[in-house]
Amino acid sequence: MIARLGKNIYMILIFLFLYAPVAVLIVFSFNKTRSRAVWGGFTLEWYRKLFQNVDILRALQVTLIVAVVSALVSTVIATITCIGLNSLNRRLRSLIMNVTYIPNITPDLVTGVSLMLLFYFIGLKTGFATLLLAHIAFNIPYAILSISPKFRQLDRNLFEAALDLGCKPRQAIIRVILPEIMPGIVTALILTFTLSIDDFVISYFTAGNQVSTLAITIYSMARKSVNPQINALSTLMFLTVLVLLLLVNIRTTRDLRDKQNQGDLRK
Amino acid sequence: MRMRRLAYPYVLWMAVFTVAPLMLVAFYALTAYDADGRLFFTLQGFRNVFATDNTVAFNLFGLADLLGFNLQVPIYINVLAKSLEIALISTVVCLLIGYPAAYILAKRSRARRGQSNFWLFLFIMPMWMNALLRTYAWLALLEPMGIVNTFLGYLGIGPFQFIYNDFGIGLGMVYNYLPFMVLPIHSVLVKISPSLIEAAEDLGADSTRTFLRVTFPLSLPGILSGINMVFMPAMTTFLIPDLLGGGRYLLIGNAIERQFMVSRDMTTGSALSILLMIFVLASMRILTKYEQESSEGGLLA
Amino acid sequence: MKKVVLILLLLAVVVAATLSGCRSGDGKTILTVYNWGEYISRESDTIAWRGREYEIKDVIAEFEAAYPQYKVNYQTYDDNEKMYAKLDTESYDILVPSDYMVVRLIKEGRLQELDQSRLPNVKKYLDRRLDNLTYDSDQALSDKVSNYAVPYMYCTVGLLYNQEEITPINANDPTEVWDILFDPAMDSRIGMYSSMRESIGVALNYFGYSLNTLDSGELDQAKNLLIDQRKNVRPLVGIDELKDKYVSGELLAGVVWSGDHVVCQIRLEEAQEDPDKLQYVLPKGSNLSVDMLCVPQNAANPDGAHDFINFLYEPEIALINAVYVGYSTPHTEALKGLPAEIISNLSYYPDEETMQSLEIYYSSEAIDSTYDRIWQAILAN
Repeated sequence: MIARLGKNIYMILIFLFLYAPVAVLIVFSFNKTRSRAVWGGFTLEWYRKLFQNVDILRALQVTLIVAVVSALVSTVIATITCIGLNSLNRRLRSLIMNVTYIPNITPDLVTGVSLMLLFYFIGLKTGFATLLLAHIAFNIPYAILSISPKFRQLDRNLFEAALDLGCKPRQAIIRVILPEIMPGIVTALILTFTLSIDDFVISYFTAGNQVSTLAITIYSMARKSVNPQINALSTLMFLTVLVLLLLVNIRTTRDLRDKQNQGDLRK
Repeated sequence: MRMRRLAYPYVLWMAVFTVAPLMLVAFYALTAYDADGRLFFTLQGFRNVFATDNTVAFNLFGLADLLGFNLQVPIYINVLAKSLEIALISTVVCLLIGYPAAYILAKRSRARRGQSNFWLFLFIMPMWMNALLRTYAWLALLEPMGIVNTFLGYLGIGPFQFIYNDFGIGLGMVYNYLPFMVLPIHSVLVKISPSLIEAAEDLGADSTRTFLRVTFPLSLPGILSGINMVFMPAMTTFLIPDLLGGGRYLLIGNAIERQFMVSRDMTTGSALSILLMIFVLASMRILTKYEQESSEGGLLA
Repeated sequence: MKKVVLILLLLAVVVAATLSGCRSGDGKTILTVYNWGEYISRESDTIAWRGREYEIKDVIAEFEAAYPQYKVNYQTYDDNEKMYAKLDTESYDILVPSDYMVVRLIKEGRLQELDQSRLPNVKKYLDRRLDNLTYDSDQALSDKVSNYAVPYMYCTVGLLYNQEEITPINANDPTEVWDILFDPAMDSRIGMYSSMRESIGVALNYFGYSLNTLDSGELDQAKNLLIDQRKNVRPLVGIDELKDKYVSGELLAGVVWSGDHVVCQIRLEEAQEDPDKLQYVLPKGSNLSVDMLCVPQNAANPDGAHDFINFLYEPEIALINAVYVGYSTPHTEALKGLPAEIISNLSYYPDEETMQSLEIYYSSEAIDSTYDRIWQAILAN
């Protein structure tokens, strides 16, 4: 009983720690004054201004486009690569996989710097293109690492069987292999999208001065005073995710309860 | 079979975007441009890093103050030592706070047979808000005239200097990286078969013993990958010291960022990056020496 | 979780697509301006200052309205050296470096000569005293500055202190004035700028040395003073973020540009407090610095840059900026619109004699590299 109480208190403290800054941001998105310590009354002013602020909206747009495109491209490349890797011999495959691991164990800072040096070296001007390339580049290894384990679980004979039954290789891939590795592909999409949205360091080094992601915009303001409009935007984004999570969670819980009920009936 | 061709484009991509950039860092670390814009070989970058004519007092974990010695070391060695100190402490604190949390979370998800990872969701949720913003919100909470101090003021305590010091930076790191510690440990813990624990209990082990002899050893891979995932970013971040350090901190991340973005000295910056990379790889090597081949313990496993 | 993210992905596509509908500025020439943070009026507001009311406007928006062919891409920095580092890889149309950085850029051939015929307002309104300052030990180079750059704002470097907490300082001897910055009793209550020249300059000035010294003994003394200060006084180091902390009383004293003092006083007035709570002293031998508008050699839009400079010299616009920014304006007409207490204050608008007692930072290869090395050592402690 006491142990249980202790556990609950512990978890409450942890969640308090995790959510205190989030709460502060949400509260201050409704704060009349710009100050970050004083409550000056309730207002929706910042939300109204947010939708007129071209700079912030553009940054949001760049962030979303880069996240979506880099997630899709890197997942597609990773899927194709994994299919190819699967039919390579063991030695070559493990060599490639080892190199793929490199970005995972390289600090973000070094990755960002090294990509910046690469673009500088080949004379590519930093901007949207380099930003996107950089995101695809750091996403691909994560996508491959999410998809390749699914191939390990895949029955090698499945593909052969499909061919024996008269499928062309392309058909066999689409009809047989893809459905099998789908969970991996979905994980890859989620992971790369999240990583791209969250990234600051690599974007900071590769975006140049003409484009800006949300993270870069926030960084340039953060030391003095963050524009409350950014708080408003984050609140909106946060609430969107929260509502979706709750909806899905409620639905799966209900599904599960239904299933359990059916199970009980069958007994 | 022809299928293998599908892997070739990636091999090319990898050569350009993984291997070449790292080679370039090494290349720039060993070269510089002369006055006419010609590239030449030089060790100046590394010489700058280890320059003995520009030294500061070495004081890892306050040892110099404690033992009363005065050791002059090149400035960047000191910067690296300071970064290591803060990163190590943050990692340990993350582990100490994170393990029980992961344990409790795992117990809950197991009690519900894996469904409803609601608590886990709640744990990840804050990560969907920009990390910079959340760190910045700590400023509002903890600055000398911030929310917490104002509140404590009503109770007649304080004010306390929470930020612009080691504590503030450490707090920022623990806050930002705690989920990276909890998630891998959690994902290992939920996979431990309940029958193992039952078996241990049947054999007469009390719960402490079961934990120490069964659960904890089995969760080691999660702990190791958690440590990796916290230590590496903690060692290299330049944001957190920037925001919470009151502008007084030069950690290795800031030093590298400064070389590239302020001093525009690519040679020294690249040399520092290489030093950092060797350092991080070496520390991870030590750590993972004991780790078996593990595909588990990933962030989203 | 998976469903959520897939829905999010979709949502992201939708939002991104919607946003691309509201893109503006198509068919306009981009003008990229790289300026100090909080150094131009970006909002419409009424500012009360010393009993007067000023209507201010968003100057960038006004410019885009007056010159519809241009779309301004406005970016900021808070450090001359950070701005300089960007020049290798980025192209800008307008820069606002401080004097010594202007000289350095001229020496390196990074600036283009201005076409004075396209800047009639500058010719008409510029306070010529600023042209006659000595910007470099080499007089010929110093004279060239006015061909490449137009003063935007200027200021002095002095001590700001909160007179409710600190006994008034009635001196202009640098050691006496700066002493409080190095007093361990002021733990965590001192503000310092994060820029290299200001920090080292204050320490040199404290000992009565030249701000451009290359004497290694003097520099070492300055370096050790700053290192000790970081250890024992633990100052808060920053730029724009410090102003609110002086206003709130979190910081009690610090090094400031005179313009920041004015801004702090305006903010105090705004909060209905006594603006004279924060005092400013200018020690002898301190720094006078002039931030100048210039056009880089590789500017993509030099025509727009000239129009922009000329626009900033419109009397009405110059007044708005002088009020919003708080720094001393070199615009003779805008000056007349400012409160009398401000114009007559020698710390903001120094007379000949005061100007003579101040020193401008110089730039040379030896100075740049020596100071950078010292600065690294200070940072690394």
